[in-house]
Amino acid sequence: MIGIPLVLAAAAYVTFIYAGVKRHGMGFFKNALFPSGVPVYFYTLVTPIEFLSTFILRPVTLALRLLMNMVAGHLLLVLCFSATHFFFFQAEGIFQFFGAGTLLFGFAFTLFEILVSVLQAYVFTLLTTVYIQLALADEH
Amino acid sequence: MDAVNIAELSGNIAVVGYGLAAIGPGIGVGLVVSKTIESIARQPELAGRLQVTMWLGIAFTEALALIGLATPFIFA
Repeated sequence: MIGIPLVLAAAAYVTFIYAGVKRHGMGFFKNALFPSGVPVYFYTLVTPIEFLSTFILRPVTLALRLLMNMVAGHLLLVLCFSATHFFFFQAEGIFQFFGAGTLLFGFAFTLFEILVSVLQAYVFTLLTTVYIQLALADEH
Repeated sequence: MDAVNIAELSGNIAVVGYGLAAIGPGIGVGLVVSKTIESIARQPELAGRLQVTMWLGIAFTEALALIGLATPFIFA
């Protein structure tokens, strides 16, 4: 299940590094790891954080955002529909009517998850463009 | 359940941990959206640009909650 988000995130990762290296050469890595305007002794603190956030957390969060939205959405749907199944076929008496509520809830969440998936596609594209833009930005 | 363990619970404490981890991003996303609404109310003509920035802010904030959700899969 992680396959497609992983490939998309890898494509975005390669693209923004390629764009940065093409524009600035090795200066891209220098800009990313040693931002200008920072006192020299702070680089011991800033450089590891920048490395972690730019080269590790960016692709990881890109992949995880897509994956975990799908996982969380499907968990909710499974919860709703298995509750519906339980209430309709195994519960007794008045509890059977709860099934209608959970079925309605599950249907509403299906629509909500469609909205979320559209939104996540937009967010993924937006983040990729921002990363490429940051890689292309000139040194201040 | 015997008489000694009246308050016995079963399950995984990690669930409580994820609940705690979701507080921060929840407050964060709320702040981002509320400030965006405030800004749009002040300057409606900037609505488009503010919304793009809002989605970016939500995406970065939400990443923390998603990392929390992924942690048990990674360290299981």
